[in-house]
Parts: sequence; C-alpha cells; structure tokens
Amino acid sequence: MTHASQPVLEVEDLSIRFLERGRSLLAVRNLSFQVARGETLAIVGESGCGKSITALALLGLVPPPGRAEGRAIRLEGRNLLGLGPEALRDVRGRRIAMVFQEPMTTLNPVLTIGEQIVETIRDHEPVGRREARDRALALLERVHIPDPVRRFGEHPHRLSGGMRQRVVIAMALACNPAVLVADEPTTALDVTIQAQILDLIDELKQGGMGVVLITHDLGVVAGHAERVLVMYAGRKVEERAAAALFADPLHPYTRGLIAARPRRRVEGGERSRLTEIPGTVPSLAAMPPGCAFAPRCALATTDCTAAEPPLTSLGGTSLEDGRVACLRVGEFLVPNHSLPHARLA
Amino acid sequence: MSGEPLLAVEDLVVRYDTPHGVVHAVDGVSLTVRPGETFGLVGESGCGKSTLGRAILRLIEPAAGRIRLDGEELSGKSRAALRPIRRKIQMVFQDPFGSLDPRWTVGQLLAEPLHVHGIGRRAERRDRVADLLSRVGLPADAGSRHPHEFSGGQRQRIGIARALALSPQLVVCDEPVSALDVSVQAQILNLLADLQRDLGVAFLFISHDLSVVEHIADRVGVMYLGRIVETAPREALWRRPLHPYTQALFDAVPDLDRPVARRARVALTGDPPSAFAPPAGCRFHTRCPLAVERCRREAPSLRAVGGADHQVACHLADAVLSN
Repeated sequence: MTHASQPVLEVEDLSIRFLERGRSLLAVRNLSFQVARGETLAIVGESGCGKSITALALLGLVPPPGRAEGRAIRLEGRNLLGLGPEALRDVRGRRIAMVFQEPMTTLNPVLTIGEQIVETIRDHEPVGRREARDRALALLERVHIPDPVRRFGEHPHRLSGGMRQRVVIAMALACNPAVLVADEPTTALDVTIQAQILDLIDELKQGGMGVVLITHDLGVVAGHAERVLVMYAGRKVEERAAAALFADPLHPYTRGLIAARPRRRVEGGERSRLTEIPGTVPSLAAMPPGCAFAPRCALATTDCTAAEPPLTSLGGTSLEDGRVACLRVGEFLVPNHSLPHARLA
Repeated sequence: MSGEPLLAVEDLVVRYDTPHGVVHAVDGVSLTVRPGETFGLVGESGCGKSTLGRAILRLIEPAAGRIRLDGEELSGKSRAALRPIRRKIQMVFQDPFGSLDPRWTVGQLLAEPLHVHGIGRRAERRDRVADLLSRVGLPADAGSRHPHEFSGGQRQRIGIARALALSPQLVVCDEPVSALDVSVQAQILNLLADLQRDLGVAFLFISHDLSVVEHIADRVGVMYLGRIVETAPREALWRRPLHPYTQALFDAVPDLDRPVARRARVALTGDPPSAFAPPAGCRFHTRCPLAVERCRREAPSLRAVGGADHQVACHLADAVLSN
C-alpha cells in the first residue's frame, strides 16, 4: 500500500509551549512528520508524552496560555500556523476533523443526533435543510448505524458508547475532511466494540483520507497503522513503518514499551516476569539533561546525558526510511543484531 | 479438583433497583478460588464483574446465594459477626485513593486497618508499616508523605500495601492496572506475582484486559451480562475457547503478535443488550453467529465439556468442540 503522492499533512518543527509560574515549558519539542492520503500514522506514547496536545495543535485547538509554534502545520499545502481564528474555524471540520476519546465531549446532549449532523454540515456548506438531512442520513449509513432514520431523531443518551462514537465519526466526516485526527477513539469502548470502530476507520481511509491515530495501545497500532511515531517526554524518539517497528524496534524506549506488554505464553510455559521500564516519566519542569530517557535506560552512557541525541535517519542502511533518536542506535544496526529485551531490565 | 477451595461462591445474585427498573447485575454466579491461586474474571463493561467482586466482600449486599471463605459462611452474617472474617479478604481498587482522606499520610493509611482490628501496639504497627512499604517496593520515608505526592504506579503500590496490612488470604483486585501506563503496569503485575509467591495470597483478579489476565491468572471465568459463560484453566481456555462469546472476545483483542489482518475475525456485530431487559434464553444469542432456535428459548447452564475443569454455558459446546 504505497501512496507516493504529495502528503496531505506536513508538520514541520512544531513546538508547543506552556507558561507555568512564570516558567516556559515545552510540552512538545521540534516535532516533524507527514501523513499521506489513505495512510494512518499512529502517534504512540505514555501519558504526558505530548501526543494529545499535538493532536489539538493540528486543529489549532491548543488551549491558552499554551501556544503552538514552529515552521508549519501544512494541510493540503496551506499553513495553518498563524491563521486567524475565523480562518481556522473554517478549515476545522471542513478539511481536518477530530474524534475524541469520550464521544460526549463532542455531542450536545439536548440536540438529536440528526440535528447535530445537519448543523455541522450547514456550518460549513451553503446547503438547504432538506439536502443536509439527506446527507446526514447517508453519513449515518456510512458509519453503519443500524436503522438510521430512527436514530436520526434520537438524543445521544439513547445510544450505546459505540454508537455514540460512530455518530461522532459521522459528524467528523460531514464535509469529507482530508485528514481525520482520532485521539484514543476506542479507549473508552469495550474490546468487541473497539474492533468495530477501528475497522470503520480503516474502511474510511480507503477513500483517501489521511488518519492521525493517537493511542497508548500498541496492539491497536499493529493492526491499523501504516507508520508509527513514538513520542517520549515531548519528543519524537522513533518513527518507522509499523511492520518494521514491531519486527525490530530500535529505540530502547520503544523496545521497553513492546517488552512490557503481557504476551501470549507458550504452551506449557510458566508465567514469566514482564520487562519493566524502571522509574517514571520525567515532569516537564524537571527534564533531565541530554536524552530524556537516559535515567531509565539500561544502555545509557555518559554521552547520553551530555547532549540530546539527534534524530538519525536510517536511510542508507538496509532498513526502510525510519528515524531514531538514540546515540547507541548504530550498535543495533549490524545485520541480524540480537539485543535481547532482557538487557533493558 | 483437589483440596478445599479458599472461596466458594454459589448461585450469587445481585440486583439493583433503579428508576428504570431492576437490573440483575449478577444473576446466579458460582465460582471457586483455591488457596494461593489467581482466578481471573474477565468481561466487558456492564457484565457484572466488578459488582460480583464487591458482593463477595459484601460491600454490596447480594440478594441471594452463598459465599464461603476458608470454611466460614459470609452470606447472612451481621456486620459485627463479619468483622473477624474481613481480615482474611481485602480489596485493591483501580483508583486506590478515591475514597480515602487525602490529608492522611501513607503511614496512617497503612496503620489504620491494624488499628481498626486492634492488632499490635503502636511500635509494632510502625514496624509493620515499614515492612509493608519495603514489600511493595516503596522507600522507607514514604510513610511520612501524602498519597498525592506519588505517581500513579506508586499510589497503586500503596493501595496494595494497605490491602496486605492484615495478611489476608484472598485479595480481590478490581482493574488494578487499568489506569496505568504500560511500563508501570508491568511493574505492578510483577509485584503482584512476587507477593503471591512470597505470601501465598490468592487473588480474584477482575479485568477487562485479556492479555493481562492471560499473563497473571491460573484459572479464568468469562462473564457476559451477569453470568459466567465459560470457565477453565488459563491454558485450556486460550488453547480452545469453546463459548462463541469467548472466541469473539479473544479475536477482538488487538495483539502485536497477531495483527488483525492475519487472523480469521469472528467480528461481533451490534452492542450488548440492555441489562434492564436481558434477552430470554441464552443472553448471548442476539449477537451469536451460531445461535439456533433452542438458544432463544432455553438458558444454557454451565457444564463440563472436554474436561472436568472446563465448563461452558452453551447448548452447542459439544458441536464446537468436535468441529
């Protein structure tokens, strides 16, 4: 599945700054990435890594006093950084739309499902009530809501969590956006419902929409993303094709994340210890010097704490076009290297 | 089936009266937990697993059924008569401090159960607190600090230490790692395994996360709409899930080792039915790909299929097994 076309979304050197007690803190630092049409880029990391605030920045929704700065957030060639609130509002919902973890943050409890979708359409396009209604019904069908005519007239509280999330996705799709940003869209849902929603997002991107999927769940990523960007403490530490990342994770943090997950036991096998990542994520106000992961990394040397490791391209090696920010990555790149996960413990 | 079970629950029923009607949150559940083992209870939201856990501790009053712990009847006892038995069974919550006074120090929180049960003098209690802190991997000075000064993972360590204060034989763990990041979740799961090995404590481990349960449990029960639909030793269950719901649940779990595209999906369509009006017959029949007429009329009971330890509540289990 290659989409060699122009990327639909390009983020260049994005930083997100907050002021706290007179101090300036960077929640996200110098982040760059691209999303192609029909592609899902997953942004993964643990709480506080900056993935959700990055999602908000893509829609110009960083809450003040936070500020997104940097070179560009280019959507279909147009730079959104620096656009005024009016212009942003127009782009939002029409060309880029967002789905949140909790559907009720998007849905209005006092309006019917149908009224909300119709309103979303008419906010952005000069269409009559009747046409908007027809389109809303078509959208409900597109997200596989059973009995759409009946649901159209119902209020959100009548729907299950999974159905509500479908409605939110229908609203996000109302104007055929070029990019869908989904922030933990299935985290609040049961696993059987989660599978349905992820399948739906997969189906929608076949139409050429780019998807940014924010998640903490590596399992979700493995089944539904083409590329993966791993964040730690506000910075990209690794970006790879999904298959390559899971077959051969390179950054010690990525390796730790994958090894920490409980895995299927082998038949007759004893319960093994999970690989822990010792310690906790540093706070923005007390970032360690050099590589932010160094204090938790078993491979860290004095060089790692001296300066922040640059993001190194893996191009030119036998690997695909990935990037990793680790000083010791060169040692992992020898053919058929086998650095056991256990060494990270 | 060797030895006396530590916990035996029989035909437990829990009902909630709500403005919308009566909900049978737990509807005739039986299970046993053996000394020193981990029984994993899995299911999706609203299946009744948390209610069942709380009813076993009588934090919620069951409407019917029996609960026996270490040979003693818990059901039907007055609060006062229950107190000495309470020492043997404790609970760990997803949010360990939701209901605790934030002004207390960690040391006070850990000493309180000892105080309530009149255990030890002041100095002995202080020693016990120090011992608990070290057992759960917290620094000795943690006792003089407040819970809010700790990270999520450390707070769960405090919650576990508090549950262990009275040296219980059984700890009911309700989604103990669900709110934690994966790196910290691994720390807590390892800690629970270490504690079980060192102290011989049994766990009833309630979780929606199948990979966590597969990792930690010795035996597993799968719940759907207030009932256990399948129960088996961990290995047998993962080798050969027999209930169509268990199969669908297993299939829906995103798995690094088995990306979705590569497996035959038994995707469930639709939502679980409302607990206010559960379907007649087998409660899963409205979503079951195999359902036949009998499933709509007659509720299947749990019965041994393919081994005494492997029980399934499905009319078609024999056909599934031989297929």
